[in-house]
Amino acid sequence: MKPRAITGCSVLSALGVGRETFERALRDPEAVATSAITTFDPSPYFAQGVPHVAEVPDFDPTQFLGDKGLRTLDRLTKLMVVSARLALGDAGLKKTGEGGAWGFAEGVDPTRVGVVCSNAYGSLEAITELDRVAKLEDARYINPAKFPNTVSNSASGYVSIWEDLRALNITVSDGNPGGLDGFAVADLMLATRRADAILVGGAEAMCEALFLAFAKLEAGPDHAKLAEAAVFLAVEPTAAAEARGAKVLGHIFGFGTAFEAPTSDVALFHASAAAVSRALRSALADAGIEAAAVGGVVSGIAGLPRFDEAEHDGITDVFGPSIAIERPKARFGETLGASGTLAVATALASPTSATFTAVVSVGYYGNVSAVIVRTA
Amino acid sequence: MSNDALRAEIHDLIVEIAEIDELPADKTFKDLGIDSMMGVEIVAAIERKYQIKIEDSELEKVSTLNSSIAIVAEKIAKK
Amino acid sequence: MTARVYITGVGVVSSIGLGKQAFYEALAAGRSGISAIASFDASKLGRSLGGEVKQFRAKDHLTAAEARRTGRASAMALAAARMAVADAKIADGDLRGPRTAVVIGTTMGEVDVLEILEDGWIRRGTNHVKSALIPKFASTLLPIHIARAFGAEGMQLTLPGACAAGNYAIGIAADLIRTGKADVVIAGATEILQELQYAGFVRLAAMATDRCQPFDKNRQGLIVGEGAGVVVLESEAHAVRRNANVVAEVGAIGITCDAYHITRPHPDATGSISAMRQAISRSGLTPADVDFVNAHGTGTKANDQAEAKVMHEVFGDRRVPISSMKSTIGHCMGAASALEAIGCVMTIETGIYPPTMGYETPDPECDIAVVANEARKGPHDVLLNNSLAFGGYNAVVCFAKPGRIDPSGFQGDA
Repeated sequence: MKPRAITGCSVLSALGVGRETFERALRDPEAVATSAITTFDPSPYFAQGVPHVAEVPDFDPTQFLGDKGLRTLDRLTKLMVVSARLALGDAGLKKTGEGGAWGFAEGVDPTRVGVVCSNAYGSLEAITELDRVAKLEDARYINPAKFPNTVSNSASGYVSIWEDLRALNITVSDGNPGGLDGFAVADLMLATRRADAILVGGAEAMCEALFLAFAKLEAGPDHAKLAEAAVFLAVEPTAAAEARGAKVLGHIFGFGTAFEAPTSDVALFHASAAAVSRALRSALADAGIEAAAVGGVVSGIAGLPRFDEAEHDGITDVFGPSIAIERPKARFGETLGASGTLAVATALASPTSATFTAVVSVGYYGNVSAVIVRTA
Repeated sequence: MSNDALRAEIHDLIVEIAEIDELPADKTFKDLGIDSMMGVEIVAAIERKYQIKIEDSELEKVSTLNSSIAIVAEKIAKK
Repeated sequence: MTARVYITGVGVVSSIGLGKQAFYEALAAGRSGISAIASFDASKLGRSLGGEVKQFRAKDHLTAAEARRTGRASAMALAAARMAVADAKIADGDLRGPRTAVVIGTTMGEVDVLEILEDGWIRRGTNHVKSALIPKFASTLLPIHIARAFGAEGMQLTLPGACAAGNYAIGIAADLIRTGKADVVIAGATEILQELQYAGFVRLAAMATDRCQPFDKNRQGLIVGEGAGVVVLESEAHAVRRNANVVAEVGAIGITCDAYHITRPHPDATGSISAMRQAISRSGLTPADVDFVNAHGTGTKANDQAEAKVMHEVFGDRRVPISSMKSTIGHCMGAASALEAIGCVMTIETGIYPPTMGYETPDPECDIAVVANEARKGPHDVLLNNSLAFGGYNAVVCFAKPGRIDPSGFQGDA
């Protein structure tokens, strides 16, 4: 791909709200995710220990969006709309004008700003809520205004509605690698001139069903907390960013992806060092750089021994045994469909002495994606 | 249920869904800025609360506070 | 940029037939796939009908292991993919490796698997969740099952594009080839009929009781259906190298967002109009080149009106024939525009416009040239496949006779 400029960043995570909060948290090794659980009643699970989850602490969308029009939105949507708003502001694509009105900056055309967002399990909250009514009462009584939330692109659609972004709007649901696949899709859309700027994001919201699904899989005591995040990066062609005098936080320089099927015919889960290595090599080739130009890797290592080992082996196969490997999930938790985007934000905020940082995201099924980030 | 209690309940239900402060009894939902999505939400909420069934052909009767109360009262009486 | 993207095979799982031949015949005959729903009781919703695929059994098309690994949505997609690959006559091994991508659209993915999980939990408690099913419901698996079957190792995308998901998948897949990211893409969409979604449309007052009559003055709404449609897309170079039978060419996707309302189309249809214009101009064509439009045509008041407006705005006084397959197979949600894309391929191959059934009373607010009640033949060089979706998604894909697209229209390589 051609280098794409990142001109704005917003992170809502278990460590707080906003880019600066995020950057502070990255510098402070003591900062850990310890928020109260508000999205479901955790007490029935206390017999097995406090649920190992982390939410965005004290999240109050009304602070950012006012108190009207939020009633039927699910948590994913509210997290995403707030994050999108902060990213647009950070990128200078929108701003608070005279009289306090939030609007587009001069010269920014709403029909040329798009959205590409990843989520893996985005509709679970709504499906569960409506299913409860349908199963325990009657399918007639489901709230039709919440029905759209059962399709996982609706949150992204609401971002466009709230922020009046009228170019393409694409949702990607590729599990953990989705947060990186979003950059590949956005690159296609920029390459074909379908937008001048794209908010590329990843988001995942906490809900009881999500917690329960992972609890049932018994990931083990070392697994990162299951956590929320909503991350958006404003991505533009470098020339466009320059032309409007935008600040540039860094560049997406290359993308690669790989897949290796499990050898067992009945297996679904699959950890593959070969796929990690191939995805990274194809991202390097796409960026047109050598492995030696990369100063560190932001990994998706999350405390699942089999997967961690494969990821580690794949990374060291490409970059050698002494490469620095970041593990943001140890602090921000496992944010699934948001984790790739969060990892790119981590790379941007923690430059190494080398020009490039690699980011890799490993799915549970033998699917892996990687991007190369040039830090500013 | 008394008429006043029913009126108060339905009033509150609509005010909450429509996110409005005042609900004149005979002003149409349309004039109050209640869109079709809120309209079907109001119907579903009323049906759930009172365990009644409002047919698709009756949807247009749920158009003001007073008309909504009337149809609910009628359905409850028939139960 | 690679100049052309060809369709060399199609596969279909639908309520009117499995496989291309059965689908084409039923579609041209206007045979209905709407029937009484067997998989759940719709009566308490005051309905009984759906476009249910009754004749599909996973084990007829999948290996035993594949059938065990997949939910119904994946199983239908994989079956359709297998039919498409067979139709394209691609040799075993030709799809192996990193140059083959898989892109699948959906709205709710493996929701039957999720349903079983939720049912155990909601009705009986956390101890009754069938844990072994948890790994199966992730939407990311839709392309993965297909990639496994053919050894494809390239880009995998699951695109939840609601009722435009099929167009998203095929349009973006074509862009992957055009920008050199893949040589072959297996692309399409899948959706299953499911109670919650069905109830949702009933409660939105969008669902008809007895039939779906797109563009008719007395139309009462949509009828939910299900199915899967998958196509094999190849770069020109790849198709020529293996001397493939090219059945159609894919032009550009026009893609916009209304940013207006989560379920309703914008009454001015500005986003939809822009998407259609993009699909035409980016294919190097003008509105005068378009022979036929395969409509979104859900049969709801708002959709059909918006779509008629698009036709008037884009084509002016020229009454371009338009038809909605949803009158025969229902609204197959995420799969809808993929099945309609295959309808477009049929039209390109045979010259037959599929009919809009149940069209009786013209609607002055939908004054467009509907292909009413009977299939007919007409010019079939350049077609548009229109779709609108929840989220304000608009996507239009251009399909054409091979060689008819002008690649200079693609505004690539920014």
